[in-house]
Amino acid sequence: MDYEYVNDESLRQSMRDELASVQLRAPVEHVVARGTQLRRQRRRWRALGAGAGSVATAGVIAISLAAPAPGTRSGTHVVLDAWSVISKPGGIVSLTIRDRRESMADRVRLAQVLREAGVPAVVRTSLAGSCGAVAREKAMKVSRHHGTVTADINPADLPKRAQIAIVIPTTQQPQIVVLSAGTTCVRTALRRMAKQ
Amino acid sequence: MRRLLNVSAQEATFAEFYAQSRDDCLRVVFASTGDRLAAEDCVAEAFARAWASWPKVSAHPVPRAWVIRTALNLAVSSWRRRRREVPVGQWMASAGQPDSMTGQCADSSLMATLATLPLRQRQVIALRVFLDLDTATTAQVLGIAPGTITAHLARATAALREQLSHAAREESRWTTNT
Repeated sequence: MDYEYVNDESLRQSMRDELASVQLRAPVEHVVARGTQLRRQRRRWRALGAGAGSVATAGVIAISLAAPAPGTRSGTHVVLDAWSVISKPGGIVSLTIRDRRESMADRVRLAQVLREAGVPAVVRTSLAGSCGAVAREKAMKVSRHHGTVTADINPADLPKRAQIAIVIPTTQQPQIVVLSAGTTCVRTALRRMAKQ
Repeated sequence: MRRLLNVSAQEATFAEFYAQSRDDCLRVVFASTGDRLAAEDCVAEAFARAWASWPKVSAHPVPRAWVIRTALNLAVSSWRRRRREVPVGQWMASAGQPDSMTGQCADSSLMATLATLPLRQRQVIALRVFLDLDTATTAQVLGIAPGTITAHLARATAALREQLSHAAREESRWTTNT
């Protein structure tokens, strides 16, 4: 197209045509679910704020929310743009990875949050060097939707000394598998991961 | 019971608003930021926040403008977080390639030229082109004076036409020579 002779409206129409294929893929259900979650968080904060008027009451609430009962690790609720880790009833920990690049950049924190939720986990770029990976066993249920990977993990069902490996390759979608390896093997895998 | 009915009615209204506005909002944010994936994330999050505050947003004169303002703020926050990050190893190879504005469209020269414009000019032209907002509303969304909007729009259109004409002339010269 020779742009020298086009008027403003034609130029704008060209721009509209150019970006006609750019469409938001997120389904409305996901957006509503996230919005409802934000609303609940806000209400929770408001409730905490209202309780702050009474120092004793607020103190009790804060302690009861912040400190889980001994022996349990419930209450993890970390929701970021790239990933989220949420504790559910029945000891299930729900891990969602929405943005693989951001998640990989934030892998140390992701693994730490999972460990705090009671899930031994490593985040890696590949499975090279692993001594045995078993995907989708009973300890974990993985689902995918439009590039988002969700895994519901039950740490109580994990084999002894096993851990969850979140594998985020450069070009492919993330994989979440159980590394059911012995201690030495996991150590080797961790050492190789550290070298990557 | 009445509250439940009210919530489902609100959800239906929001779903309709989302279906009508999501693509235009994404195009505005994409044209402003130049990063398709980041724009998608920001717009989806902005819509989620709109639903979280739906009674307030639905009363807004232009709810789409509210969503775009929120998405642009999120994009700035995301950029602030990312600017200190250093890509390592193999991630460097993929950085920038799939997300660039030029890789998303059929006529990359137009979008590449748009990407060379200053941020404000890109925002103004995107709001005017894709949302068809008037000068006053565009000024309200971007928080600048209406006169500045007119100036930015004129400069952006002139710059686009000049650069594209230059590119078209170069291309025809190259075609003639070969």
